[in-house]
Amino acid sequence: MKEYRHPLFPRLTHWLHAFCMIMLILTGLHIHWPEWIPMFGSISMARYMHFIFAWLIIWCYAARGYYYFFVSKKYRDIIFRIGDIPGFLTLMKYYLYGIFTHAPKPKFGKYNPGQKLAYSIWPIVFVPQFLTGFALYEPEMFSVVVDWFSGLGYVRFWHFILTIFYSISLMAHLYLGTTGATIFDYYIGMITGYEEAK
Amino acid sequence: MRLTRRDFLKAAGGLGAAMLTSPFLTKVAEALEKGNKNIPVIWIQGQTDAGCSESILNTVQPTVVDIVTDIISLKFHQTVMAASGHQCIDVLHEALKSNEKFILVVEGAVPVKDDGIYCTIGEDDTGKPITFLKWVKDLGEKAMYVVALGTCATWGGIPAAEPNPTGAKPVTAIIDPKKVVNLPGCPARPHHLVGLLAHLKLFGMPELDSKRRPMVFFARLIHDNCEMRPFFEKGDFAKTFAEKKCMYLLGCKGPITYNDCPNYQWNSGLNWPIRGGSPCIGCAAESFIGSTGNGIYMRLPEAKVPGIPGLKVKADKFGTVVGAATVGGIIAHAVGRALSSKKKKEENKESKGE
Ligand code: HEM
Ligand code: SF4
Repeated sequence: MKEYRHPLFPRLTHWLHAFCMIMLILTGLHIHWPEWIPMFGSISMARYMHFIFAWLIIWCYAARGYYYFFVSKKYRDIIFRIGDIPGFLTLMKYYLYGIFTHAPKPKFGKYNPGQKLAYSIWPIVFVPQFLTGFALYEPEMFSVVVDWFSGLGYVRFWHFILTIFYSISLMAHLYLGTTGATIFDYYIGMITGYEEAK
Repeated sequence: MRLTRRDFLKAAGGLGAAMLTSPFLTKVAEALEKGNKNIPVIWIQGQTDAGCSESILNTVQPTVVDIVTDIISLKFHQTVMAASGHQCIDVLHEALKSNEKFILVVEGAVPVKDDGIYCTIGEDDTGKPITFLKWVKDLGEKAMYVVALGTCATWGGIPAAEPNPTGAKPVTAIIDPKKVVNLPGCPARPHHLVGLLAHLKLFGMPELDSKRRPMVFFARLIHDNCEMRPFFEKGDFAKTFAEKKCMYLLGCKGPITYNDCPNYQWNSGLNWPIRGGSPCIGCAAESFIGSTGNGIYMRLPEAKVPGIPGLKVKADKFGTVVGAATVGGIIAHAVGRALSSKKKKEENKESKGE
């Protein structure tokens, strides 16, 4: 039995966000390692696309924020709170042990504490990511940000370190997406809206 | 010799003053013609190798003689003054007592550890050495303007490199930053000091950026005007020194360094590091050398994590290791899952078979 879990708007913005993020990471890696990963032809092209997707993702975040806080008002589904910590530990135990012994998957609300943690941290980490990004883009205009990080060298350093954080959490997200009823269940759910009922 | 209007405009070329707007040039020329009184300058040197003095002494147009005779009146300068002993230190004591206005030029960083005992100039009446720290504080308080000349005076520079045994500090950490103009660079550039002194004398404080550097010299990154920029945009990089291409991969700090080297080069426009086949080492940047951590030929954006002394995270290595660990972890987890499902299926089969 399938159940309808994901309305259209979150599904659309989820994939927009995913696409922007992947493009930002790839164009960013081109800028960082132009000798290894010159997949966008030239640095100017990579930078150009990087800004396009940076703007897109900013509006995507704004739209999602508006949706969760003012339209669906379901922000409690995705905000990680102190009370979620025990649940988070149970979940980690399941991922590191139970999943191999085929123990039943612990039951939580719509999203499990691990998902809540990820979905709460991403927008938070996005703030310094986008501040450092804009400081690299317009260092004179954002000289305050440059000062906070004590110089453009560090701005760049943190922009890159945060990218690493995003890259690994994205990998984990993609992998955990395979732990549904079937390997593709969650992926299909994010496309059609329907997932196997729990 | 007086600097005439014609001389000045000729010299302006050598000063790289083309960047200054022409109405400004005319005003300078007029003001110089009116024969303003030369402005007294006191120039003290702390933790420095005198390289900035050396650099300024090399100014060709106007010559250093023109500057000393026509723009400023140099009262004190440790390395070039003829006087010695009391004769020389008394100039400083007098400056503190008299009401004459002066500009203080500070070259080098200021050691503050152990009350600044690591750098002293002269002695007081009791024969006790007077610290550079005290001179900077006292003279700085009396001065009309203070010029922090060079990277050490601006950011702390090499003396402030870890582990900074003398507690070297930039000038803005010692005196009210509102008076200070920073002219970073290792060494500082001649036309920066000459231009700044002329501006202070004729028009007062120039427009500064958030780090108190004159906008006219420090508004753009090296990378913004670099002649190798087309190579950078194309992704065509030099793999060895002296290859005439963008030197980003050889550790060029052009993308984080504010200065006007691409516009005016060095040695009166003869050449500059990047044209000479050496990457920009970021000598005017806040992060130059050890003060905050970028090695000269280290690729951007490698840096030490601030606040944790000794911990050096090479961003590239960090990225590769953490990325590889994540991929490894995921693969191990997936293999574990696959194996355990297989085992479960076999168990199921066995139990059915019984
Ligand atoms: C949100 C707005 C963002 C803006 C305005 C922005 C802007 C920039 C700019 C201007 C650069 C070029 C640095 C240079 O050429 O000097 C850059 C580099 C980079 N960006 Fe972004 N960025 C943003 C978001 C992101 C995101 C979300 C990621 C990835 C998760 C990312 C990853 C990177 C990487 C890896 C680099 C290369 C930096 C390096 O050299 O190490 N950026 N970004
Ligand atoms: S040589 Fe340096 S400053 Fe010039 S374009 Fe390349 S990275 Fe930028």
